[in-house]
Amino acid sequence: MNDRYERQMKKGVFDMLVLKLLESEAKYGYQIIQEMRERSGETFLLKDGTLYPVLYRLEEEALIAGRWSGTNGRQTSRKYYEITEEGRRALFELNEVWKRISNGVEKIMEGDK
Amino acid sequence: MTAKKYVNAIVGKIQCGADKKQEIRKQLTAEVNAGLRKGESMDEIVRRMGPAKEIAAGYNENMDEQDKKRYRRHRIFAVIIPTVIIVASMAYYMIFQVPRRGDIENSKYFDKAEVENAVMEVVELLDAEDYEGLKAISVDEMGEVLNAETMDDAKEGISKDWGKRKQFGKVYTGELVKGGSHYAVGEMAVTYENISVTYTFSYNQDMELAGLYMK
Repeated sequence: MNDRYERQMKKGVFDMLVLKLLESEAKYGYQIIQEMRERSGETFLLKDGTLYPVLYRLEEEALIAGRWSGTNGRQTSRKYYEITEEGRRALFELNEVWKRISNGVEKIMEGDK
Repeated sequence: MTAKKYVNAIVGKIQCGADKKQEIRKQLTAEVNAGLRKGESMDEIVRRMGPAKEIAAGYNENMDEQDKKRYRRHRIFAVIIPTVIIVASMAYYMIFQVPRRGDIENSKYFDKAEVENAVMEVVELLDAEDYEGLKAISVDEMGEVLNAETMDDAKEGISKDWGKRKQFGKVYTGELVKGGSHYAVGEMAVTYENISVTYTFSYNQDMELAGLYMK
């Protein structure tokens, strides 16, 4: 299958998925990638370099907030992200849009049956 | 490739202001260092994170217009103009302020073949983005411009995408004398896939790169 189609479809839902993964607790980049892979059954295999620009934009849009952890002995300082109130509202809206779209798509795709 | 070079290669291509670049650099450096501490090699980290150009393209795709406008202003006023002024001043100083010019073949200080090779060496180092290698063969003052960010912006000021180098042109050489000091000058047009660039380099009597100009 043409990779481009898959990439384009996935791109449309990244924001929603990242916000969802941050809904319950703050996480750093690698944790988000791991969880996205595990919870999607390996459907979403993100490269770090794909995720960080998205995190950057979501932070600029104030949908998530980043904070640096302190160094703990030999551990590196990491940037953790947590969802903001505005992010929770956006997540709700995105989920509503997603349900509407996927419902509409399903109706068309199964239309001849 | 070192962690610093990888992060510089990404950040150098991101179109935003200096303060945001600083934050992105900090994040990327932390992620790369976390990988190194876990025992990953740089090759493994680059494979996991992705090529520098792709990551930078991802950031640029996610930058808003305000960030890009600030970046363009920053490039013009803080980087390109000073860079062009520095290199043009040095080239102007070397070429137009000297009282005497001579044929390098008659020089007591320079060997024509050595200057020709030195010109090609600088172009190869520039194309390889080996700025540490360039600093090693240059006078200390050149250190200000010989870095990824300044040179990337200077190159982008000429053209966004040069493409791969296709051919070296002929090297034209000369000798300049100023205030008792002798300098070798080499000029060469180099053809890239998408553009032709003329380089002018000057060298002091120790054959250290003392001036760099490109158009």
